Amino acid sequence: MTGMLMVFALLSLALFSLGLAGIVASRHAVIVVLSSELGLVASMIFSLSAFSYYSQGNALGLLFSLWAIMSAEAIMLIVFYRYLARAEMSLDISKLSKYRD
Amino acid sequence: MDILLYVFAAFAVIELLLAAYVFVAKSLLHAIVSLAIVFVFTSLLYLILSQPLLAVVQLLVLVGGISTYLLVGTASESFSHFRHTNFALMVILAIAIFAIIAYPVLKSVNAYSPSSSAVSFTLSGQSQFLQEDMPIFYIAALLLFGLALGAIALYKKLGEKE
Repeated sequence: MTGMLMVFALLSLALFSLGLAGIVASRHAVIVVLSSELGLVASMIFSLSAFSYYSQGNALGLLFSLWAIMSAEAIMLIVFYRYLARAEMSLDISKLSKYRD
Repeated sequence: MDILLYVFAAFAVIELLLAAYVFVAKSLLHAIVSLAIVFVFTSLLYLILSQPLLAVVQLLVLVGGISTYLLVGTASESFSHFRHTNFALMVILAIAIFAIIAYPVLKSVNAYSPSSSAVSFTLSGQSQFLQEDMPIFYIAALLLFGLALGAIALYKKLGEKE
């Protein structure tokens, strides 16, 4: 890898690590969602930097990876919603304080 | 190239610090605003990568997407002030995960040769327009975001009076 691509890759991996560690170490539902957003943004930076440096102008790979990242976000939120619903947690926004227990 | 590297380094350090602040902030609202600024810096990184179209898309998605989190943050502001993240555990985990996933990347130095020049993912005829008017997009996004923050501040002030 070249220097510039390497630093972009390391930044995105550092952001991804922070996001993944945040999901494990946090007990606030919204912070967990924010952590996953951080991971997805890191994935976007990584795929875009790889596209910028290696692609020969064919955007199909980039579009596919962006689509996959967006799908992962939607699937993750659905799974999270199902988990909260199955655990019989209130999804009432005014009762978010219950999540701390 | 060197100047670009210094600019990138500055952006990267700020972005990582703001990303870490998401887990340190006691107020959920502060965490969300911090994440929003992370998104802005991500958009600026796209510009460094010569991707103006995706930078604008990221900026506009940020304005729309983060408003959802702002809504949740405002709604739960009064009872979200608690230590939500075990920061020591998070730092240890982050370092361990980074070491594991960065090792293959560091190992592959010079394993691949990049294309001759960075390719810009822009629509033909629109790239010039985007590059010339890029500051306007950022100013518009910042104005919209400032409006959202102002609305939250007003909401909190009204809540205090009641």
